[in-house]
Amino acid sequence: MEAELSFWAFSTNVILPRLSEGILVTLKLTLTSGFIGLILGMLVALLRISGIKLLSYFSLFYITLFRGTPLLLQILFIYFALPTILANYNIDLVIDAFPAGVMALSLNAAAYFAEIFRAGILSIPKGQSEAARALGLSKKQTMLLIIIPQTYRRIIPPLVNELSALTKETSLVSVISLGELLYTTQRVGAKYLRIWEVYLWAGIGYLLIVLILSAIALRIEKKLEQKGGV
Amino acid sequence: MLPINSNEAILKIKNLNKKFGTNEVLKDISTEIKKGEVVVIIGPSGSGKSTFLRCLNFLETPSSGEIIFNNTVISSASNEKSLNIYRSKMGMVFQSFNLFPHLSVLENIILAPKLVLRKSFLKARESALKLLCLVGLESKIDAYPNSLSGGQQQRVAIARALAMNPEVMLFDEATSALDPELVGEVLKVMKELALSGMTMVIVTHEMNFAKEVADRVIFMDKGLIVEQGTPKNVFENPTEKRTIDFLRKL
Ligand SMILES: Nc1ncnc2c1ncn2[C@@H]1O[C@H](COP(=O)(O)OP(=O)(O)OP(=O)(O)O)[C@@H](O)[C@H]1O
Ligand SMILES: [Mg+2]
Repeated sequence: MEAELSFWAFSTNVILPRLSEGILVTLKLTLTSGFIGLILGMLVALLRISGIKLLSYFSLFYITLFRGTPLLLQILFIYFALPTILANYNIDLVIDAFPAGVMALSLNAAAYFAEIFRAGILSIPKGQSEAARALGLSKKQTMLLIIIPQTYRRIIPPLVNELSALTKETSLVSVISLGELLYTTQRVGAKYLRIWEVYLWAGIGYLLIVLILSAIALRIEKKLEQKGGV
Repeated sequence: MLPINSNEAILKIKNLNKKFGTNEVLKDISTEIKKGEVVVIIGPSGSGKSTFLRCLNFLETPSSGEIIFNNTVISSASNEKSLNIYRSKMGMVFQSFNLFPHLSVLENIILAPKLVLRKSFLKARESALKLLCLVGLESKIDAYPNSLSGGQQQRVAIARALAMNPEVMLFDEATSALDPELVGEVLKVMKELALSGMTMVIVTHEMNFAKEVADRVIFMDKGLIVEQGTPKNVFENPTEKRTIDFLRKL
């Protein structure tokens, strides 16, 4: 019966209600993984520039590992392989699709974010930390109050790029049957056999999220620009 | 020139060495700086003047040697915390100003007094205002550094250093990055500071300024103190060949 509905009727009655559930899951995935990824990425970046060899090598290893292997593999590994490894150590862990997806996406995004943070921190002239240290500020105070705040404006554009990439990469989590936008799209398409309509709307859905993220970033950038132009 | 407040040395520098790799930049430098003394360091490019200043407040860790600051020994063995406290008592003014561009003039000045000296905002603001009047920039209190001229930025940088009530002020070519017409306003502030009895170590190429304010002039070359004395002695009757050559080229 749905096969006879017009494009608009089918879209509004069938596709959009279903896909909007998928979009919500995609948004949740993006925001949760983005948030965790940012914090983790900052930590990894700080380890990398800590000047402590062991930590710096660990960080480099982490970044290389997560940027050097496919995200799809990382998702499958965490969802399927990790529980079997842990089982060998008598740890009984079943990871649901959503936490597994968040875990893979955050770990992966952190590696990319870390490089952005590191580049941002290294781009601040040395005179800034020297002036802060000369005033008696500790290393930590210098990093938190002088260096990092100056990186915000420079790192926002690459961070948004990365966040957009992350939005699109959440679609890979469909392989572990998590009902995000792409998975939902495939299901709806298969059920009603109206393929191009559903994929069109899915595309629009991703585009919307990315555009909204960019718009928010632009506003933040403008705000920062008014404050000293740094 | 000016009477030095006492004979008490505020800084004793003992056998200071600094190497970058195999490059010996400071070679066994020893000297004393007295309370209230204004010491001007001159010398050719690459002679180690900046490195010497930066070793004085441990922005650069000396390879060996120690500094005795009011009877406290500061060396590469000192812990991070005592180095931070030591640095807070040594004001430093850089060639490139190094104001914090994301903070307003007021925030630049009160940041360290609040964090390091644990002053209240009101107290810190009060002394910031006084210092801004001193450097003639009270109207710029809420401005951001990028909106100021180089001379204004450097005067704010001086006020920022003074806000920590330092016992010694270090100046590394404070006017070298300035347009010629802005040099005077910064030198004026430095001169007033010298007259007020501040202990100062100044690296500069402004020889007239050196003659005017220095109690002692140190000529450095290749990591060594080649010659030192009153401005009159060093500028008018230098005894070392390297000093004579350097002064002739000016
Ligand atoms: N961080 C560093 N790493 C390696 N070498 C350095 C470093 N800082 C300074 N040097 C070297 O130490 C020597 C002295 O440099 P310094 O900056 O102290 O000279 P300067 O007398 O201040 O010269 P200028 O008048 O040009 O400022 C130079 O040969 C310089 O290349
Ligand atoms: Mg220098």
